[in-house]
This record gives sequence, structure tokens and C-alpha cells, in this order.
Amino acid sequence: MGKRPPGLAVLAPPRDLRASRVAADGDEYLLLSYPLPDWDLPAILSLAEKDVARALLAGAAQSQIARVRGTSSRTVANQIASVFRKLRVTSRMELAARYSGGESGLRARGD
Amino acid sequence: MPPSAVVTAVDACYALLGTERQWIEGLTRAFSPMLDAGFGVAGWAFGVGEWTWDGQLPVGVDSNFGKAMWEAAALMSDEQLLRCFTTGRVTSGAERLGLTKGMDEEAFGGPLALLGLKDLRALTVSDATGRGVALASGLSQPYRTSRREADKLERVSAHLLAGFRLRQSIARIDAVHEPGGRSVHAEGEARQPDHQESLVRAVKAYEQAHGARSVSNAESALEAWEALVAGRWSIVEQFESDGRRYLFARRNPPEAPRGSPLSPVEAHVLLLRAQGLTYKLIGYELGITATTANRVARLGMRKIGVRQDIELPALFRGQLAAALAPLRARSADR
Repeated sequence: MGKRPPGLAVLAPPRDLRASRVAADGDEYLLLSYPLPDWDLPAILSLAEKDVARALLAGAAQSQIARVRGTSSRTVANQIASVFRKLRVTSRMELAARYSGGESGLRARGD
Repeated sequence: MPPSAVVTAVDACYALLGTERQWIEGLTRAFSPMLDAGFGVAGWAFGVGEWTWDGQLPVGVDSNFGKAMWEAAALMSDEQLLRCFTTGRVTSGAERLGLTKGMDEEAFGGPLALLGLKDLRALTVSDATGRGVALASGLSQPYRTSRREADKLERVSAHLLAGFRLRQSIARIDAVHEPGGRSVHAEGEARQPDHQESLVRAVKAYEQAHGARSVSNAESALEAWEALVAGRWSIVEQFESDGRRYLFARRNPPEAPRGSPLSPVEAHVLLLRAQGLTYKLIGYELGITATTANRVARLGMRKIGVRQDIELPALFRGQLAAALAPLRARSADR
């Protein structure tokens, strides 16, 4: 097993985490909530590309995006390729890592 | 019975949203690998002492099997019915009724015998009021539950009862309170019967009562997160509302089979994945295979209520940005 990077030993709570406990019939339940991602996509993308990128980042499959947008799967594939090319990423995970919100969004791969 | 069958069944027990019928349908599907002997798994809600057929057949089986079960029940005495629903949680129908050669040795077994059934394997749980849920499958031979099987199903049935009680209680959540003990009552609308609505309203009532997060509440949230990561709570339901992901967790009893804490390796893999690294690269970094890295990530995500790894970067961006800042500064200096 490799060395653990400094400061990454444990998972810190998500930003704006809210917590409360619920008492019900003698049992105890915990309610946690945190904001869903607010993707900070650059203006270089067209509106259609932004829509496709947001759907991609929400975990939708290519075929699902095509169905929702009423286009062909091939069109969505082209739009995804265009998004990746413009933003210089190679996967949706890299896309998420780079544009997961504001200035704090990470720049992966040594950017 | 594969371990995944138990996990699937336990998950189905805690499906808190949706109608009772949808919940029971989910249970019959999830318990099928454990209970089904070729005739399907029947499920229904019951109330001991108020045994009436309101026209609703058990869900999960064809109508012939369902009708046969009801016809058999109609031929039983009150005492026999009571034994069916109160004698232990996991036994066969014949065992519950003290029969050795199968249920068809009594008149009430006739309707079942017409379908080639001699016994039922039944799992019933009920709360203190006598209301509960039953799951049963048909058997072509009289059956005796082995000790090992009974032990295994007993553990799952504990979750079934917990899920049943939770579903009953969510509709009448009476108080939401901070870890420190101060109560905020979720009254009025929060007492509506719809479970999801009740839950969402109870949470919002709490959040509205507290307004902006104070330092002490942030500390409470941190404590709660640490307790979740440490495995003291198990996530039983999650939903999204108004741009937020809500996790609903149950405190683990000390003897619970679930609830293992998030390990340092799991945390490490999740953080590397949050940086956009592929599992192959994570494998290189940690000296494990890509498949293992993927498996570890999925285990870790399950423990903290994350559905897809695509959510990880946003979830931990603050932590990653802070941890990577010194590295970036050093890089900029060069």
C-alpha cells in the first residue's frame, strides 16, 4: 500500500453539512443533508453542450440524455466529444473534478 | 444463500418511501432468493386480532396461490390463526400449527393441497400493537426449519421489523432534536401520513427553526458526520429535495451486522477518485489492482451515502483544495 498524502487521512464533512436527530418510537435516526453539486461550466460551451455536460455530471447515460433531449445518441456522443475537447478533459470524472464549483474546483492532471 | 441476497433483502426492509403495497412488493422480490421454492413469495400486512379479508390478496404471487392462502386462513380457528402470526418469526406453517405431516392433514390445508402445496415457509414480524408484515412461500413437502437457516433469517427479520416500525413511525415523527438534547417539534403538517412528505417537512421544520447555521450547529454536524464515518449509523434512505441530498440513518445496535466504519484505505481511494483519477491510476498509487480500487470505492461510497463516484469531487472539494494548496504553492514557486 502506498503512502497516504498529507492531510487526506480522513474524510472531512461536505461543505454546508446539516445534521439533526429524529426520535421516533424509542429509536434514534440521524438526518444529514448537504448541497447537490453546482457545476461551474465555462462560457466556452454552447447551451446545448452545457445541458449535456450537466446531465453527464448528474450520472446520466448517453442514451438517457438523448431520450430526454429528443435527439439521437450519435448527436449526444458528438456533443460529449466537443465538451471534452473544449475543456481538455478525457472523462466525465475528470470533468467533475475540474468543474465541481467555483474557484475551489480542482484542476486535475497538473493544471 | 449468497451474501448479496441478504444485503438486497436488508436494503428492501428499509425502503421507507412509497406506499405499503410498493414496500411489500419490493420485499417479496428481495426475499425471493431466500424463501422461494418455486411457487413465488407472498407478502401482506396484517393485524393480529383483526383478521379480515378486505379483498386484497397477498402481493407477489399469482391469484390462485393468493386465494388458496386466504381460503385456508378462512377455514382456521381464531386460535390457529393467532399461532400462525405469533409463534416465532421464522418457522414453517406446519411447525407453527404443530403438524408433522404437512398442512394438508387438516381441513384448512385443502385449498393449498389443490395447488400441490403441503406447507408454507413463513417469516412474520409484528410490533407491540400486533400489526406487522408476513412473507410466505409455498412448499410441496412438509418442512422443518433448520437451526442455521432460522438463525440467518432471524437476523434479517430483525431488519424487517425495524423497517416496518420505521415506516409506521415516520408518519408520526413527534420530535426533532439536536444531539445536545434540545427538541424542536415538527407539528401540524409534519404529521401527514405520507412518509416522504413527513420526513422532508420534519427536516425543514428543524432547519427553519434554526435558520443560519451557528458554530455550535456546525460542530453538531461535524460530530454527526464523524459518527456516520465511524460506522455508528447506517444509511437507510436517501432523497433529494430543493437542491440538497438528504441522508437518513439509523443508529446501529451494538450487535448489528452492518455498520463497519469507513477505513483509511476507503477514505484514501475516495479522495483520489474525487481528484478525477482513474481506478487504474489509483491502483498504481496504492499498489492494488484497478478492480480492487473500484470495489473499495464502492464500499466506501455506500457507507457515506454517495450513489455515484461522479459526486465525489463536489462533495470533498473543500478538503481537497485545502490539502492540495501547499503542493500548488510549491509548484508555483519552482
